Amino acid sequence: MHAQETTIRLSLYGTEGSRTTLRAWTNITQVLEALGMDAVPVEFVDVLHHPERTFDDGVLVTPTLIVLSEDKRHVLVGTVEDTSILREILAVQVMEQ
Amino acid sequence: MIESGLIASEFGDCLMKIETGIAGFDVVTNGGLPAGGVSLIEGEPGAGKTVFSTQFLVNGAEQYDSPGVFISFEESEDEILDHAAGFDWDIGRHHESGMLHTVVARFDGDTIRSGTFDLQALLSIVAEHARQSGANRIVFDGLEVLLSLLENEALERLEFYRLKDWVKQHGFACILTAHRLQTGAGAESRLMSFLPYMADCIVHLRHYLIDQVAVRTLQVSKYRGTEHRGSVYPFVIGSKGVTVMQGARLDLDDAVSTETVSSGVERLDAVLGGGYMRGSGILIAGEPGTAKTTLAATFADAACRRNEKVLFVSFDEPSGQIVRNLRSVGLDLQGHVDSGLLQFRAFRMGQYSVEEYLIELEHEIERVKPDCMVVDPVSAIEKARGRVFAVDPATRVVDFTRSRGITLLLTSLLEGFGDSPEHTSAHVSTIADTWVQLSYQVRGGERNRALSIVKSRGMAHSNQVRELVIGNAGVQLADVYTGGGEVLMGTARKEKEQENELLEARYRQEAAHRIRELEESETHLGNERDRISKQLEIRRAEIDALKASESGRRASEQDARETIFQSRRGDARNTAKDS
Repeated sequence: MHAQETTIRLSLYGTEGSRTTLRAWTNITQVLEALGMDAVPVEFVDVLHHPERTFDDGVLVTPTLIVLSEDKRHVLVGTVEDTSILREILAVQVMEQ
Repeated sequence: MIESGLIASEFGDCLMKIETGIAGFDVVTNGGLPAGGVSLIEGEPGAGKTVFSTQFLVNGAEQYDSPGVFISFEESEDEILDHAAGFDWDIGRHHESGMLHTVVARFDGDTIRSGTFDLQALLSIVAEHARQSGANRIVFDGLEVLLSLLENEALERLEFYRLKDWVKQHGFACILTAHRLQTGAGAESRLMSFLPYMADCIVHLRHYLIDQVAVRTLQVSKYRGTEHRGSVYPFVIGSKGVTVMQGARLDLDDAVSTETVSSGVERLDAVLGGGYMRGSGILIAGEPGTAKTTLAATFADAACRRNEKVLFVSFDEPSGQIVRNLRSVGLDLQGHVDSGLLQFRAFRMGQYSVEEYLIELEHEIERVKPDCMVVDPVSAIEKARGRVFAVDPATRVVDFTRSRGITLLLTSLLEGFGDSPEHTSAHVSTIADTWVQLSYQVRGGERNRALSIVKSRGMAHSNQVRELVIGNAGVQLADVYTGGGEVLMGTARKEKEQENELLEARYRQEAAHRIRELEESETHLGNERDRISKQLEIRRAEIDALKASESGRRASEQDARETIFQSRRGDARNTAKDS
C-alpha cells in the first residue's frame, strides 16, 4: 500500500514565523517522512489571516493539527512533541484505507 | 496581522476607562474598567464572577451601544444564554443582533495535547469577532482552564503577556475571571500566583455567611495608574444583576429647598415652624405604640392630597393591615392606593441582609420615583443580620433620597421606655434634618403620648413638649396647659381645661350680670333725664309766659298814662318822673 494514494488530509493551524508552529511543522514532516508519507501535503493555515476558518474548524490554540481521513477527524494541539501519537493516528488511517 | 479597526489608536497609552454600567461599581472605580487593560475578577465558585462579567457586556449593549464578546471556557453557548436569561436582561436579543458575541473555547473530548501551544488562534478569532461587530468589551470567563493545560508557569506567564499585549494593542476593556487563590498546589494556585501581579485591575468577589445570612462583598484591590476606592463594599445579585453599595457619597452638594411640606397635622406644622423641609430627612423616634406609624401615615396622606407620589416601606406589617388599622383613627389611605399615588412595599424581617434591604429600597425608589417616602421603621434595617458595611444603613437611605430631592420620613423604634435621646441611633439622629421625639409621660396613674421637636434644621421650631392625642379625627396636638412647672397631660390637662372653662363661665356670668345692672341704671337715668327735661321745658314755658304777661301789663299802663297826659296837658317828663 502506498501512502500517497490515501485520502488523508493534514491541516496545521499556526502563525507564520512562530517558534511553536515551526516546531510542530518539523515534527509532523519528520513523522510523515518516517512513515513514507512525505508526499502527503500538509496545509498550513495562518490563523491571523484566516480567523473565520479557524473559528469554524474549532481551533482554539496554535499550533493545532487536524488530521482528516474520510469520516475520521483527529485534533492534536501543541507542538507534537510526542510523535508516537501522530504515528499511531496516521498508521491506523492508512491501514483502514 | 488582523486589523481590528477598534479603539487602540484612540486610546494609545493613556489610561481611559470604559463604564461597566454596574450600579455602584463605576463610582468605586472612578469610571469603570481600564480600556486597553486586563481586569482580573477573582472569587470562589458562586461569588458572582460570571454574572458580573456578563452584565458588563449586557450593559454595554443596552446602555452604551457598545458590543462585546464573551469567551467561555467552561460553558456551552446554550448554557451561557440560559443562565443569563434568569436576569432582567434581554440577552437573547443582544445575541441575535450581534451586540453580544459568544465564543465557546472548549476542546472536544477526543482532542489530543502534545507539547506546548499559544493563544494566537483564539485571539485571532476574538479580534475578528470584535472587528466585525465593533466590540471593545471582551470577557474571558475561566481562561485558566485553558492556560492550565500548559502545565508550566513560564509558558502560562508568556501567554498571559501575549493576551495583555493584544488587549492593549486593540484598546479593549478586557475582563479575565479566575477562581480564588486556594491554599495548596495545583494549576489554579499557580496561575493566581502571578496573575494578580500582571493584571491592571483586580476585583475580589467574596461570598460568605454572617449570622447565617449570605453576604457578598467586592473589593478593588489594585487599579494601576488611577484613583479608586480600595475598601470592601457589599454587593447583591438581584434581578438586574450586580449592584454594589458604594456607601455614602463624598460630596454633599445636593440642591436644597426652602419650601416646606405639611406633616398632615396643622398644629405640628406650627410647632415645627411651618412643616417639614422638602427634600429633607425626618426622624420620628419613639417607643412602641407612641403613634409613629400614624404620624408617618398622616404625612403620607397629606402628600397624596397634594397629588404627590409616596412610597411607604413597612416591615413585618402588610399594607392591607396598615390601611385597615389607620381607618380607626380617621385616616383612609385606600383611595390613594387605588389612585396609584401611594405605593406600599412590605418586607419580612430576616428575609435579607442589611445590604440586600438597602438595595431593594433603592430599586423601589428608582421604580416608583416618589416625591415623599416613609420607612417604618428604619430600625428594622439596622437590626437586620449580616451587616458588613461601616456606614449606617439609615445614613445611606437618607443620603440616597436627599440626592433625589425626596422628602424622607423614617420612624425608629426605641428599645425600652423613656424619652432619653440616647435611645435613638446616633447615626440616624445626626443625619436627620428634623427629629421628632415621641414618648410616654406617666403621671397620676396614666400614660400619655408626648411629642417634642429635638431639632429641625433651618426652622424656628417650638421647644415645648406637647401632648399627642389620637382620636377618630386623626392625630392632634392638644392645647398647652402648664402646672407645677410642666406641661399637663391627660386627666390633669382635662381637669385644668375644665377648671379653666368653669372660671371662664363664671367670668362670663359676672360680666353679664354687671352689664345688665349698668343697662338698667342707664335706662333709669335716661328716664329721669327725660322727666327733668320736660319739667325744664314747662318752667321755660312758664317763664316765657310770665315775661310776656308782664310786658303786656306795662305796655297797657304806659298807654293809660299817655292818655291822661294828653287830656291834662301835663308835663309828660314830670309825669313820667312822678310815676
